[in-house]
Parts: sequence; C-alpha cells; structure tokens
Amino acid sequence: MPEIADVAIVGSGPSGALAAAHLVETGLRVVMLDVAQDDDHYRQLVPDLPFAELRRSDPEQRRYFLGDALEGVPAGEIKVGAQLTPPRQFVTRESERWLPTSGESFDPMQSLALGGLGAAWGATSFTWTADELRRVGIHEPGFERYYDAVARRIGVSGDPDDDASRNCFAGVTAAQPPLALDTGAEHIWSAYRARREHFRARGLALGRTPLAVLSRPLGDRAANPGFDMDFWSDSRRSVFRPRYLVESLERAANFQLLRNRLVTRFESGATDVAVHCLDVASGAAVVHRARRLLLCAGALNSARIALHSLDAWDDRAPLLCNPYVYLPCLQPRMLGRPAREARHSLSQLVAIFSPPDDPDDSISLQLYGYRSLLLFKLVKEMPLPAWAGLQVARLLMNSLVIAGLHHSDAPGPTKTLRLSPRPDAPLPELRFDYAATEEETDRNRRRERALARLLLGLGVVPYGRISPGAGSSIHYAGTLPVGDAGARFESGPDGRLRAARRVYVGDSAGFRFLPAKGLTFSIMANALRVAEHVVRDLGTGD
Amino acid sequence: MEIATEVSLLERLKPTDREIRALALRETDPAQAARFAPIARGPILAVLALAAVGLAALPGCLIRLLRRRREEH
Repeated sequence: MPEIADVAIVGSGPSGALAAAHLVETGLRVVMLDVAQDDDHYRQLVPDLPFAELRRSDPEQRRYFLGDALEGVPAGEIKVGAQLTPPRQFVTRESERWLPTSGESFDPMQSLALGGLGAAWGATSFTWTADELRRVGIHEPGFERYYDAVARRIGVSGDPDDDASRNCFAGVTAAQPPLALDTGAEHIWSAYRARREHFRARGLALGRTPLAVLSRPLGDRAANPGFDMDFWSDSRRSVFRPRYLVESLERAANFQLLRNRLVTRFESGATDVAVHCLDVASGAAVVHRARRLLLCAGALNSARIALHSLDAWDDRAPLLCNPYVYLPCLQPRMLGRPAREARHSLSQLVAIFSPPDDPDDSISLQLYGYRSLLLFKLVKEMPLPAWAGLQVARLLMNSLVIAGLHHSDAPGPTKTLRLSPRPDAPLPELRFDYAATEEETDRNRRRERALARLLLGLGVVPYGRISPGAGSSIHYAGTLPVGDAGARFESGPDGRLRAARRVYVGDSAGFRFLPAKGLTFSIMANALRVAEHVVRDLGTGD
Repeated sequence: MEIATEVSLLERLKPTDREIRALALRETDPAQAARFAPIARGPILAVLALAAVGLAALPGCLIRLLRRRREEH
C-alpha cells in the first residue's frame, strides 16, 4: 500500500464496510482506520448447536451464557448496553475510555469494534419511502437501486409483498424468502390476516420483518439453522456482520485495514488530507495521508472528529435519535402451550402504524419472543421472591412477547451536542443536551396508546411500558446534516463536508431527519451512494 | 407521590442482585436444566398454576417487605 491512499475510511461499521467494498471494486487504493476491537475469547467457546440442546447438556454453558467474570448477570440499575450478551460485549469495550461523553439526558452506546455497532445489530433491514428520503435530505432519484445493491451483497430475507413490507421493504428485488416464524408469531400473523381490512382501516400494516439473515446460502455463509442462538453467536455466519465484508476485502491488494487506530482529527490540505490517529496499542501519534477522507465512524464520533478538526468549540451541532420504548406483552393464546424449538431469535414481525392524525409520519413496532435470553433476567424484574418468580417465568415463557417501538425524530433547539475539552484524553468530550419537546412526547404517547389497543385485536396484551431513556435506540444521526444554513459542520447533497472539500460524510451523520424505521440498511445504501460521489470526484484508480 | 411510593414498593419486592446471581448460576447448571425449562401444561392448568404461585408467594412478599423496611431504618 503506498504512503498516500486514494481514500481513507474512518470506521469499519456498516457504512465503512459497504463504502470500502464499492471503492475497492473500482480499483481505488483504500485504507480503513479503526481500533477494531474483536472478540478473541467467546467466539470459539459457543458450540454450533441449538439453544435448547446446549441448555440441556453443555457443562460449559455458564462460560458464554453468564460470562467468565459473570459479566452477563446484570447488577444494579440497567444501563444502555446491558442487553449485550457476554460474547457481544466486545462491541462497547474501551469506548467509554476513548470516546468520552457527558450529559444526563442522553445515554449513548458507542463502539470501537471491528464492524462497529453492526457487530451487535438486530439485522432489521428497512427501506425508507421516497417521502422519508426527501425529509432525510436524500434527493437522488432511483435511490432504490442502492437498497437492492446492499441486499445482494449482504443477503436479506423477507417478503416484499406483505402489507408492512410495501412500506418498509419496497423495491428490493434481491430478497431471499422469509425465515419461518416462531409459534407465537404464527398466531399473531393468522389473527392479522383474518381481520386484515379491520387493521388496515385503522392504519396498521403487519408483515414479516425484513432481516439481514440468510434463509438460503450465500457465498461462504449458510442459511440460518434455527438454533435460537442469534444473541449469543454468529452461527454459520447467517446474520450479516460488517466484519465479514472487511475480512473479504483484506484479501484485495488495494485494501488495508489498519487496526488500533483511533482517529482524532484531520487536516485538509491542497492535495490531500492528513488523518491524525493515536495508535492505542503503542500510544504513539500516527499520521496517514489520503486524497480523500470518508467519515464512517458513526454519527456521534464522525461529528466529534469533524468538530475537533474544524476547531468548532463554540458550535452546537444537531442530534437525532429515535425515541424508543418497549412493551412487555402476554399472548394468552400461548399460555401453557408448547412452542417449536427451531426458530431464530431476532424480530419476527413488524408493524407499521400510520396514525390517522398524520399518516405520513409512521411509527414502527417489532415483535420478539423472549426464550433465549434466559429466565434469571426476567425474574430480576418480578416483584416476587426468586423461587416464585422462577415458576411464573417458566409458566409465561412461551406466551411472552416483547414489542419494541420506534418513533421518528426531527431536529430542534433542545437536541444538540457540542465539544468540551478533555486534556486527559486524545479526543474531546461530547456533551449532549437532548430533550424531546412536550408536544413530541404527548404525540408519541397518544400513538403508543392507539397502537396498544390494536395489539389487543392481534391477541397480544401489553402489560407495561418501559422507556429506557434517550439514546437507548442506538439510532443516532443528523450531527453533520445535509443543509444550506451556512454552518461549518453541514454536509452537501453529495456527502461532502462544506468546510473541508476533501472530506465526505458516509454515515448517518448526514441525515437531517430520522424516520421511525431502523436506519442501518439505509445507512449502508447511502454509503454506497456517497462512495459513488467519491469515485466521481477522484476518477477510478489504476 | 402515590405512584412513587408504589414503584418503590415493587422495587423492594424484587430479588436482590445476590439472589439473581445464585439463580443464574443454577440455571446454567445442566444437572438442573429441567427446573428451568418452560412449563407447557395447557392453558387452564397454567392459569391455575399462576394463581397458586401468586398466593403461595404472598406471605413471602410481605415478610421480605417488612425485613427490607427494617434494614432501611
């Protein structure tokens, strides 16, 4: 690899991996900079067997289900990231140390892992409608082709023709057939189909969740075996992880992943960009040079690097994050009934609810079973002695449904971040001020109540509402938004940072609105779009 | 104020971190796996079992509550 690369990419997550794949294919010389934390411990420990069989017979199960240091047993208050199982906890390792944050109103999850937050992604792969893309700031006609290109590359299964998918999985022609539903979800699906017109008239569309999970083999990856181990391991690589793409790129002569690189800032010069890093292994300062820089460090950290580089200490950049609540629900029909063991652990069904008061601003709801998350976590939340909680949990297990609900988010004066100096750290602190307006909160609660009533008609009874707080959706965006207000940290429609013309924003930092539907699939599609602009800017390599 | 008291009451009734840790260790012992398997005995039996567990747990809940109040004072 020459001293000056064509493109330096910061971050190996979903956007960085997809952009790199496109750039490498065009012949450009690409260097990827990331700390690239990896799981060097648990991956080898988890046998390739079904959850139920492991629970029944593996004497070593404690090691990966609870963790060697019992790090999988939550103690005290639940924090963001507590949902990560021991084999997934490398995703946030060292992030608090190197990526300091403050602000009581916002609790983010950040990652320095190989594959970024994509290493623990729930794999939901939603497309955004033309209207949503316009609000996001993407005006490019024919954006659907990027969704299709991502689907072909990573493998996505779903049914593009069901009611929900017409809104959240439209135009994807490369989809594999959907995965089988679990027993409880089959009953919900039947209840919906039996009274479909009733639900449609009230703004509810239900369908199978489009997932970046294989139902058919793709390259060296196998179809999901239905082991219900998807929260614990990457069984047969059926669930897409950005790491797979980066590993395959490492076989190309024009690509290099440089590990242990914590990017701190950039300097955009007359012919190239100097990218300043800390080598976290040696503690040495390192500078890499490239003709163009593509920021794919995630909306929070891309903003941190950009604002730091632009000396924007007094600027307040916007911050978007989908409000997230979950509703623990009971499905009485499944009470006391057996459930099939073969299943996947991820979202089974998705509901898109277009409220009659604003049908263009949908909310999304995903339905999950609970079984493979173990009973003790459930017992921890029950106001009962442990022995009684255990019996109740065993009785309810097959009839438990968790409904995760996302609202859209729009920028506002009460949703910002700014830099704050941290002399003891290589990067400045990000200070968050994030609060939804009263009007937004009221609107969201109204919609949640309407949706909860519709769930009753599907045979699902919500018995609580848990709001883990701002930041918990892990859907961050809008910090370097596409705009023309003249702010230094804005980006252009081509992804180029206005104040540094050799620097592009390839992740969700550029989105100026967040639809309620999960953003990862759109991040990847947009990364391909921005990568095409970089190629146009540079011309193809040798 | 009433809601805050109610939440606090429910929090007090939840198992301690130590109890949960012990439960987690038992749950991942394959020799005890059957004690942690989902129970599927038909809907009516399940409802009856739930009611029975609830009733049986009630004295224990009150004792725990009193004990924790004493500990707090």
